[in-house]
Amino acid sequence: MKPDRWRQIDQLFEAALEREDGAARAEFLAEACAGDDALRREVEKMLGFDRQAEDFIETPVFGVAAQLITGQPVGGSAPGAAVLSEKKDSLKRPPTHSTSGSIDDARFIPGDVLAERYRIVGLLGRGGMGEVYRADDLKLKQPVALKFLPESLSADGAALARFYSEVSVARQISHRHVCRVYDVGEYEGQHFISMEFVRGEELASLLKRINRLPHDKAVEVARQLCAGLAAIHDQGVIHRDLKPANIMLDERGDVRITDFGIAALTANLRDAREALAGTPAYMSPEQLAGGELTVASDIYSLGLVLYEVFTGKKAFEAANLNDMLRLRRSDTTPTSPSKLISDLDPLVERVILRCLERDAGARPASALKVAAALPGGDPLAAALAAGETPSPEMVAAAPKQGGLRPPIALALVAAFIVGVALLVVFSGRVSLHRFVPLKKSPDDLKARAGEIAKRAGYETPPLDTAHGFVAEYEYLEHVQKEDASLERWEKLKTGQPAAITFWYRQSPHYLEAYDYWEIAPHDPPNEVSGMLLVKLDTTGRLTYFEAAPPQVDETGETNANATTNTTTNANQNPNANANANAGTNAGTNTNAGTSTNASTGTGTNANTHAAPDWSVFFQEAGLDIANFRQTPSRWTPPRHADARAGWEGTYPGRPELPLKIEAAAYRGKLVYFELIGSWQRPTRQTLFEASVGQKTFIAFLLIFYFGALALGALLAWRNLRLGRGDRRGAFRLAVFAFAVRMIHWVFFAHHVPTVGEVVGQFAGALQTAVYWAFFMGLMYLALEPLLRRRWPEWMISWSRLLAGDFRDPLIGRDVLIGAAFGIALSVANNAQVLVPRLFGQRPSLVTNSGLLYDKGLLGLSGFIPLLMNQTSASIMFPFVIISLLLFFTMLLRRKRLAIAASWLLFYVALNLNFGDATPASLLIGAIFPTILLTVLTRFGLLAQITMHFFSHLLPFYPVTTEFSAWYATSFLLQLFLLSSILLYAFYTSLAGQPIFRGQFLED
Amino acid sequence: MTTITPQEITGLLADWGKGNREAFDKLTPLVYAELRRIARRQMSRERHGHTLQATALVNEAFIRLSGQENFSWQDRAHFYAVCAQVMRRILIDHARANARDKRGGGAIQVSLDEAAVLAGGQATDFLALDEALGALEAFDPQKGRIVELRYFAGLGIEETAEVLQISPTTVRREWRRAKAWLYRALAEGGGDETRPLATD
Repeated sequence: MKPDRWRQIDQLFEAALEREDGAARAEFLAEACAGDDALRREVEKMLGFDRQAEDFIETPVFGVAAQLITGQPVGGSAPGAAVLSEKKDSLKRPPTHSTSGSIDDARFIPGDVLAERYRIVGLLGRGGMGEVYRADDLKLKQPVALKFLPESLSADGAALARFYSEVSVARQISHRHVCRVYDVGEYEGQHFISMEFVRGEELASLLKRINRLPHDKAVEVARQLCAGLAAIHDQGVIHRDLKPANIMLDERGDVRITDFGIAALTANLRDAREALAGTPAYMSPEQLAGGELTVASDIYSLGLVLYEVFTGKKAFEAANLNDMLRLRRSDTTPTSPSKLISDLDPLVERVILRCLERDAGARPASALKVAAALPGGDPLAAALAAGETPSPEMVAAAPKQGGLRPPIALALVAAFIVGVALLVVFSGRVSLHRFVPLKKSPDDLKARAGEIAKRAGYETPPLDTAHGFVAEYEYLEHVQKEDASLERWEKLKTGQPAAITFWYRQSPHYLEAYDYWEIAPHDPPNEVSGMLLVKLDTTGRLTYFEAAPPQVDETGETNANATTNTTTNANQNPNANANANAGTNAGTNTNAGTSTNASTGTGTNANTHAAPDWSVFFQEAGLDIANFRQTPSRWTPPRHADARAGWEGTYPGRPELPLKIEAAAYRGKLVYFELIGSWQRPTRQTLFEASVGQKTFIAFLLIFYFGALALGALLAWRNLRLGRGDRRGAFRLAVFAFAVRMIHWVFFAHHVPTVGEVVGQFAGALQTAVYWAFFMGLMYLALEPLLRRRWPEWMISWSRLLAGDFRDPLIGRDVLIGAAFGIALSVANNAQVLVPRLFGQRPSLVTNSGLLYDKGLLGLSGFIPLLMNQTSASIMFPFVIISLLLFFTMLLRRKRLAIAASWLLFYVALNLNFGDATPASLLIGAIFPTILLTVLTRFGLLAQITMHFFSHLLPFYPVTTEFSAWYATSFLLQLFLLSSILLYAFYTSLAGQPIFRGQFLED
Repeated sequence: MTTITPQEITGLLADWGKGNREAFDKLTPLVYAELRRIARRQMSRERHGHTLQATALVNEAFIRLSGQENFSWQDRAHFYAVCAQVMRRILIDHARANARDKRGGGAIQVSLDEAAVLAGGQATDFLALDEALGALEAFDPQKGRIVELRYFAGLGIEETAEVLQISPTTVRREWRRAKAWLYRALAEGGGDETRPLATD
């Protein structure tokens, strides 16, 4: 364009502008440019630009220049681009930590001391927000980097508050691949962050210098990046601006991630245009779209960084910002890395492309998953090598693949089936419930007890009843000790004496347990008039009867009358025997305090009354009174009575077993009847006199319990403070423990419609559940990190299970192995009982848990509480083993020594109760600690827990060959449950491998 | 810094007004240093989101340098012009440095803030603006000086009129057209054929 032409246009342009009216303007132009259409078009164009340029360069850039001269060396070169805007009189540069930087124009000069603590050493560069200085922390004597914030941030109270909270979170992040944030400070109104001073180079400038990294170094950098990013995410911080310029390589070439989370702050300054507060070239699609930022957004940026690290090319390149935004907002995907680098490891390409999925849900779920997918990627091993406690997520993300080959999985299932079959087949030879005749169901026995109550004169229908089974351990111990015969257990088959007793209670009040929510034979005590406790052997024969007499005489007679009446009664008493007995008894029994049977001769309180026909109750007990010799009654009834009697004889058909019978009545109604074997001790009158050993034991128990609680609390607190505790895992476990207790209460508590039930029992159940939840959570927080730090490989499948990754083959493998070993433990238990018999040893019985009789025989109603017990025990016991193992490891310093010590301890503890120890049984006893420790150390926590769960089949449930028996319900339910778990584990462990074909095709 | 008297400063300003290029070269570092000192002090003193008052700053710098309160309008006009040019130079150098880096790095890098700015308004290619301004100056020096004073030294219409000894109305008219020309230059950019401000 020639100057003349230009001037011509400009003049016409000026003249046209003076004519405001559009029509006038058009007329003027038409006239002025007559014949020169080009001229007219030029002027019209200028008029168009005039409209567009209204705001153009209206805001002076003086402020920008002033800022530049105050901080920026003129002509000084620093990486980054600048874009000037008419709207913003500021000029910002991307963050940089370049260690070279001119101090010349910095706000502070070397030697300046800030806040009496930081002495400026030099200017490092200018970050996204402000200057970054290198300084010496005079207090802690270490170099730091001070990053100043923009002034506008310091002015904005809300932004400042947010900034402080961000820094307080960032301070928690301590990881060797994350640049440490120390503190915040203020100097003359300028806020700054003090952080770790990293000597080194930005990844951005390194890449610029050497293009792509060599493969091995790239993998190392990638892994370190993942570890650092995972540590940041662990604290709930999202980086938001991950890019090579924010990644430092220190002097050793190790990665340090910087500026995490701070992007959010700068964003706040920009009218909350948060999503755009990153670098477009490294932003995730959702970030560009202004969507919500998550861990997945950082994973996308990580993918772009990895792309560049491995290929040396930026995934997205554009000449300027507008083009970049256009490119990023289009659906363009980066060139696949293998097209740039032909020999790129396909693993690397796959993980990069997965990170770059547009759908956030399709990207790897965590930075650790990315690391695990890298070649040879094992962040767990790396963390351990660095002496760090790996996070639960890191443990779960360990690259351990746990699938089983079909033949092995099948073999484990077969082991389970064979084991269960053995348990069933041998149950008849080892299990108490298979020796004792269990012909009558609890309902039959209940009806029978009610019948006896009626016969004893208690005919009022009860308001509430309760019943259950209990094993007579005193009798069993007696047999074990006294009976040397080979068929000593066979004798239990008559059911008399009772080895398993059925008890039945009825009451005119609702039964409300004092101690717990389950009704027991003596909880609540039998103290309400009309309360009954009846015990039967399993064939329905009476073994015990107890009734509470009326509080006030029902006959309405006064005490004085009673005295005279009793005399008459005594005279009328047809049962001379009883009367005589009472007399004799009074004579021998000087201890009159408990006795109601004072001698008639004394005349003061002679309340001897008519006794019932005792022989009726002998019949109910399956005995013939004629075979018994009357003796003075010596065992006092538990409640008031006015007539007492005693007999001696032997059990029918068992002349070697002496039997004493005691009975008492009040006003002619039976209040007490008991079959007393020679093994029975009068426990009600035994004085509690603790021996030194017992006292020591109780003291030890108290110290141990409170010590463990205190130590646990301390450890848990420490672990939480150091950020090691697995809060999520502990919380889930606590919720689980809580649920277990509450379910237990719902299904097994004796619920009655009373106020006490509503406020007392429910609150009690809640307390217990909260206690358990707290206890489990605390112990988990205390112990789990120690275990995770020392033996994380034991925790992999457990962590995955807690994370809800139910389809993981490793979980399947560990559960399957735990199941097989759990059953193996039970089989070994049986073997310990059976094998000595082969050598002619006297047989013993498998000592089942009392719960089997208490709940296992009650069918469906007992099943759920039993299951809950089984579950909590299965989780608790492994942690006991682990804490012991940890204790020994700390004590002995060697893992092997610790395992040996634990083995010995478990061996002694598990074989201590074994009454009839024989060389064979002691030898077999060695199997238990061996399996316990092997499963733990080889297959880990989940296998251990599963093993305990499965090993409860034998002691908790009535294993039997009679599947149709009334008591088989809980056994069959358990068997169904175990089989379902086994099937799940089997299919999961195969991870989709065909069961039968695959094995032949494998190499 | 060698000591320099206020008289010498006014002398240099006068010389530059007469077209002495050397005088400008001597003035630049003095003005630069003084502006920097004042700007830095103002920034740290009036920190909270404070935008610098261009006129006040330049005035203060001038008073300090010339050591007089009653200065002649010529001196002041020259001083403003020097300031505007110093500022322009600073910005250009900075932008060039970045452009160099851009070429070296091969791709664009944009900081957090710039991206946000971009989302709100248009960005300007600063070097292109400078080039266009240079061309405009060649066609029409007055328009160039108006833009320089308004945009770089931050002067208002009245002040610009005073410095250039023309009427505010003229400043307003010239400024409006200068903006349109520059805008067109930036918008069309590209090939020489269509460049409106290119001298053939």
